[in-house]
Amino acid sequence: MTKCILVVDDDPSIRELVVACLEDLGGWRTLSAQSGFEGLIQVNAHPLDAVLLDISMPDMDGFGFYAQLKANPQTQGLPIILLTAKVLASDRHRFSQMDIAGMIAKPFNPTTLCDQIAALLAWPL
Amino acid sequence: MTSHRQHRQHWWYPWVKRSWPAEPIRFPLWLVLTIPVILISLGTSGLVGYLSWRNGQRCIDDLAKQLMAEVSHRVNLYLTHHLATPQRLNQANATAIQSNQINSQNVDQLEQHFLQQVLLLGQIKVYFSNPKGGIVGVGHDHRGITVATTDHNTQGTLRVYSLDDQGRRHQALVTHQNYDARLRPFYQAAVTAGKPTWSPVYVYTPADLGLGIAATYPLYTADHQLLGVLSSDLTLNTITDFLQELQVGKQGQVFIMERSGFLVADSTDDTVLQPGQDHPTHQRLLAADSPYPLIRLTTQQILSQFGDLNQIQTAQYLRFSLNGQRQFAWVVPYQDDLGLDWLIVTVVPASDFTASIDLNTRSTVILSLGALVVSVLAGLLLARWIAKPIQQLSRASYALATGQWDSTLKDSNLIKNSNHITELYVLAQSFYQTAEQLQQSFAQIKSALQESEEKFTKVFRTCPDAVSISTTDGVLMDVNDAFISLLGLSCRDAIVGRSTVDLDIWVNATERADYVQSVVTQGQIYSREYTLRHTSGRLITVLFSAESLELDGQLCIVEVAKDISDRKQNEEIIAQARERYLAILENQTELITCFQPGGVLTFVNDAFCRYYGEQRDELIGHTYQHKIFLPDQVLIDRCIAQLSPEHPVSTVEHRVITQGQIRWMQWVNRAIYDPQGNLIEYQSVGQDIDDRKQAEAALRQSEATKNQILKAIPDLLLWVTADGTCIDIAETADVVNLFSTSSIIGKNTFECLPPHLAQRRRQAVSQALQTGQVEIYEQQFTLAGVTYYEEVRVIAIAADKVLVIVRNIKDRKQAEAELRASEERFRQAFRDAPIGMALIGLDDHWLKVNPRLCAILGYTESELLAMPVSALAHPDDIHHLQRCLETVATHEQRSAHTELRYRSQGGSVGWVAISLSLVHDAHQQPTYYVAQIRDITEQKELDRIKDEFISIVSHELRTPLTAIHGALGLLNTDTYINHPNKAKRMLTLAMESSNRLVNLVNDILELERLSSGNMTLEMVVCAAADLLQQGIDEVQTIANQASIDLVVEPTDAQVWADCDAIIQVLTNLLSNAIKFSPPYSTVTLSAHTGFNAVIFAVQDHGRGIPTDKLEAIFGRFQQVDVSDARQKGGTGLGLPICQSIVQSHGGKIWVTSTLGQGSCFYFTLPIPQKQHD
Repeated sequence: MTKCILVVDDDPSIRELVVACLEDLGGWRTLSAQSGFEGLIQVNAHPLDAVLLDISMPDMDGFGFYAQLKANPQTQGLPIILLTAKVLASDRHRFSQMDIAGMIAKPFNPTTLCDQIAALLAWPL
Repeated sequence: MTSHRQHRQHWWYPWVKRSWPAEPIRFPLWLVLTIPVILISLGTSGLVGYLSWRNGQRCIDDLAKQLMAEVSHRVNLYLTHHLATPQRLNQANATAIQSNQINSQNVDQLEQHFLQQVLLLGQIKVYFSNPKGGIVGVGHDHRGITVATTDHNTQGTLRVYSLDDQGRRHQALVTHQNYDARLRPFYQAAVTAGKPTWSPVYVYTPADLGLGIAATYPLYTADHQLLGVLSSDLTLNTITDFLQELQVGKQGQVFIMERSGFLVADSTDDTVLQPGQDHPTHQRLLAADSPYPLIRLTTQQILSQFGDLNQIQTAQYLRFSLNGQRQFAWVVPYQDDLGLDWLIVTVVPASDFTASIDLNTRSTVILSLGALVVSVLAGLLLARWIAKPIQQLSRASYALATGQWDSTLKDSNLIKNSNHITELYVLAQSFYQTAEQLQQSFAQIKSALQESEEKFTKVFRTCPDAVSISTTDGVLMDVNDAFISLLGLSCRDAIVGRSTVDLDIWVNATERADYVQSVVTQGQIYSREYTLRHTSGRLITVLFSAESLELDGQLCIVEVAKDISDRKQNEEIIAQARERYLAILENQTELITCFQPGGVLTFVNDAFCRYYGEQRDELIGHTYQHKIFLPDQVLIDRCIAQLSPEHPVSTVEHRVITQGQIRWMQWVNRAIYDPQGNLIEYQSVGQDIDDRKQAEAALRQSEATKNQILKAIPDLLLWVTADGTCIDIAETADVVNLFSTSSIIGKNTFECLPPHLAQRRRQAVSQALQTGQVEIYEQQFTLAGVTYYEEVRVIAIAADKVLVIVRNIKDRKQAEAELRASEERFRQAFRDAPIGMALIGLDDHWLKVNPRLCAILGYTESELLAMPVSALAHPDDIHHLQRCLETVATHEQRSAHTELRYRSQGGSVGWVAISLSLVHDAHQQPTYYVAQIRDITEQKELDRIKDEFISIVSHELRTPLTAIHGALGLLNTDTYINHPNKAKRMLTLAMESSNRLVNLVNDILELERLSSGNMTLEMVVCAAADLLQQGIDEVQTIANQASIDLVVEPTDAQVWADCDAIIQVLTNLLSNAIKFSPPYSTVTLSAHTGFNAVIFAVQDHGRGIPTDKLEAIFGRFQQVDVSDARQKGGTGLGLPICQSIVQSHGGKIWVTSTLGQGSCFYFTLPIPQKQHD
C-alpha cells in the first residue's frame, strides 16, 4: 500500500513544490491543506501515514494543529514532521519539547527531501 | 625401693592375667617341639596334593579346548570351501548370460552349457528358471546325468530325462504336471532377496539322498527387469560324510545346526531326517530331538544356558555334567556373505582325557601320606633328644634357686646328657661354673655384711646429729644418743618401741604426717625445717632429712635432725631490723636508690618506682643511664667523680626522663666505703624540682619580655609618686620629652610642666589613685611653633604610685580629619550618582538608597527603607538576586552581577542590572552589601524587538527562497525531462518567488534607508492632484486586472513634499486597497487642505481591519493576517515605509475602518511654506 502524506502549508508555491517532490520523487500519495484547520479536516477524513507540517499559517498555525492532533486519541499516534522556516534557537528549543518524528528546515533540498522523510519515519524507500 | 619392686610389672603381664586369671597353662618342651613338626608335615602334604590335582584339571581344560577348537576350525574350512562351488558356478553363468555368451531364452544352449559344467564338477545340479515359470536344468545324482525342462520354456509340464554318453536325451524319467518354477523356494528366495542368496535347506526326494541347499542368483536386465534365476543345488550328505571322518576324542561328536535348531549334519552314522508321522515323506530333525544322547543333551544344555540359539554371536566354551560325567562343548557360529547362518557344535566327554591323570592323582595321595608318617616320627624323636638335657638344666636351675647348691653341683648327668649338642653343652658348663661362683660369693658377702653392720652401728651411735629409725606409723625402732639429748629424753629403752606421738615430740602432728607422706612417695626428703618439743616444753627448730628404708620386709624411715634454734633466732632479729629500715625508706616521699659504681641499681624505694612509673623488678639490676636526659649525663659523671672517703656527699641538679617527660631533679649522692676505704656502693636521695625550675625560667623570660616591650612601646613612660615625684622614666623618639631624662628622676614632674598641663596631670593622678581606674585625657601644646597632640593615660600601680603613659596622636588626628572629608565626598557621590546605588543589610533590607534608585523603582526613600529588597524582585527572578548575594557572601567572587525584573510602585514590570559587592569590617566580618542598579528596561525592549525582527525577516526571506531552491532543485534533476509542462510550472514558481524576494529585499533596504535618516528629501511645492494622478497611473494595470475602479476627487491643494516619495506612499496605499477590495468595487483618492496640513485619503470597500490592528499594521511584517503576504503578494513592509516617509515629511498617517465595509487610510503633508505663511 502506497504511503499517504498530508502536506500542511499556507504558501501555495511551497505546497505545490513539496507535493511534486513526494509524488514524483518519493512515489507516495499526498493530500494538502493550506492551514491547520484544513489539515484537521483532512486528517479526520482520510487514512494517513504522516503529516508534513508548516508552523506559520493563518486560521490555525502548526502549534494549534499539533495540539489538536495530540488531544485526539485516534490521531495522536500519527507521525508529524515539521517543515518550517523557523530555525532560530528559540524556535528549535520549542520544537524539542514536542512529540514529533523530526524537523526539516526551509529551504530544503528537493532531491533529498524524500530520503530525509523516510529516514525520520524509518520507512523503506 | 621395695614399693617400686612390688609395683613393677612386665609388659605381658596384663595379657597373661586376662587370659589365665589364675595360673598360666604350661606345656612340656617335647610337646611344643612335636606339634609344629606334625602340623608342617600335614600342611606340606595337603598343599602338594591339592596343587597336583588342580594342575591336572587345568591341563584337561586346555586339552579339550585345543581339540574342539581344532575340530571346529577344520569344519569351518571345509564348509567355506564346499559351499563356495555353487556360488562361483552361478556367478560364472550370470557373467556368461550378461555378456551374451549364452542366450537365456535359448533352452538348448542353456542345456549344453549346464551339461558341460556338470560333467566337469560331478555331484551338482545347475538350472535356470525364467519369470514365466519355465526351467532348464542339468544335474548329476544317483540316476546319473539328467536334464529337466518345462514345455515351451514356461510353466506347465516338467520333464526329466536321463542322458546317454553323448549327451543326448535317453529316457524320460519323471513328468510333473503344473510345474511352476516361480513357486519353488529357490526362486522365491532369490527374488525376495534381490541378490545372490541361499535357498532354505530342503529334503531331497527321495529322502535317502538327505538334505540339499541351493545357491540362487537373480538376473536383472539393465532396466532392472527380472531376466530369470540361476540356481545350483548341493547335497549336504557330503558334509555329513566329512564330519563322520573326523576323530573327536574317543566318544566326542561334532554336529551342525541351523539357528532354528534343525540339524544340518552330524558325525553320527545316522541320518539327520526322521520319518513323518502323518506324511509319507521324511522331515528334518531338531538337534534337541536327536536320538543320540550326547547331541540331544548338549543341545538342551546350550538352549538352557543361552535361551535362544540366536544369542550366540561368538565362540562359546561350555562345561557341564551328563549322567555324572563331565562334558566339554565348543559352539562356533558359521556365517557367509549370502546369509548362511549355522552353528558348529563340538562336544567331548571329560573322561576321554582324565583316565591317566586320575591314576597320577592317586599315586600322589599315597606318597604324601607316607611322607607325613615319616615326618611325624622323625619330629617326635628329635623333640625328645633336644628336650631331655634342657629338662635337666631346668631342674638344676630350680635347685640353685632354692639354695640346694650341693645337689646342683653333684648332678654329673647334666653335662653328659648335653654332650651331643654344642650350644646345650656350653650352656650346661656355664651353668655349673656360675653355681660354683655364686656359692663362693655368698660366703664373702656374708662376712662383709657383718663388718659393715658393726661400722654403721658405731656411726649411728656417735653421730652428733639426732638420728632415729621409725616405722611409718611413728613407732621408734632405734635412736642415737644425740636424739635422746636433743629432746631431753631419759634412756633409749624407754623410747624404743614407743610412738613419737605418744612421746609428744611433734608440736604439729600434721607436719609429721606430711613429711611421712613425702618420704613414702619420693623416697627421701632433705633439709626441711620442723619444730619439735623438748621434754621441758621448749620448742626446738630442727633441719630434718629422712629416707625410706625396708627392714625385715617393713617400710621404715631413717630420720636425721639438726638443731638450728639459735640460728633461727638470730635471723629473725636481723629480718625485723631490715623490715624497719625498709619501711622508713619506702615511706619517704623523696626518691631513694642505691647503685653500683657502674650505675646498676640495687635498691629503689616506692617513691622511685612511682616517679618513673615502673615496677621494682624492671628497675633493679638495670642501670639508671637511660633515665638521664643525655646532655646532663656529664654533670652526673662529674658529681660522682668528686666523691671520696673525705668528701663522700655531693649534690647535683639535672634533668631526667620520666614517663615520656623531661623533668628537673635534685640528687644528694653519698658514696659508701668499707673500713678499708674501698667503695661499696652509692646511695642517692632525689626530689623533683621541675616546678621550681620552670618558675625560675618563666620569671627570667618575663623580665626579658617586659624589657623588650618597654623598648618597643612608642610611648613615653613615667613612674611617679602621688605627689608627682618621678621614680623612673622610659623614653621614646615618638614623643617629645618635656623633661631632661637625666635630671627628672627624683624631681617633681608637675613643676616641670606648663601650668595648664600640670594642673590636668595632677588632677588625673589624684583621680586614678582614688578610683583605681585608668584615667585617659588628651593634651595639646605648641613648642617652637609646632603643635603637638598627645594622649595621656594614668594608671595606679600602687597605693601611692602611678604609671603615666604619654602617646603622640598627631597622625591619628590627621587621619580622622581626612576620613571626615572622605565620607563627605562619598555621601555627595552617592547622592548625585546617575545610577541607582544602595547599601543593603545582611538581613535583606535597604540600609541606604540614593535618589536615582528611588526614581527607578518608583518609591520614596522612606518607603524603600521599610521594605525587604527581595520584595521588589519579580517572583520568577528572585533566585537570580539570591544567587548574586551568595556569590559575594561565599567569596566566590569579589563582586557579582545579574539582570532581573522588578515591580515598580505602579505595578509595572521593568528590568534592572545589579552589581553587588560585600563590605567587611576590621575583623573581616561582613557588614553590608554595596549595590549599583541600572534601569535596563528600554535596552531589554530594544533587544526583544531586534530579536523578533530578525526572526520575522529570517522567516520571510526563507519562504520565497525555499520555493526558488526547491523548484530549481527539481529542475536540476532528470525528473521532468519528459514533462515540459511540469518543468515550466516549476520555472514559474521559481520566478514568482524570486520576484517576491526582490520586492522584499528592496522594501527592507528602503525601510532601513528611511529609518537611518540617511534619505534626503527633495522638497518642492507640488500639486496634490498631480501626485494623486501619478499614483493612479502606477497601479492602474493591477486595478484593471482586479476589476477595481479608481476614482480621484478633484483638488487644488498644494503640498511641500518630495514628490517621488509621496507617489510611493500613494502607490503602496492604492496597491493595498486594490488587493483587499472585492472585484467591481471602487477605490477613491482625495486630498484637501486642512488647518495646517494637506490631508490625503485612500478609501476602499474591502473587508476592513479589526480595531485592535489599526495601529499594529504600521509595524513591520504586521499584516492583518499572516497569510496576506502570501496570498496578496505583499511584503508586510509597505505601511511601515509609508509611515516612515510621511513622518520624515513631518506628517502623520492613520487608518479608520469598519469590518466588512472598508477602510480609509489618511496621511498629512505640510502646506508649502509661503502658502502656510
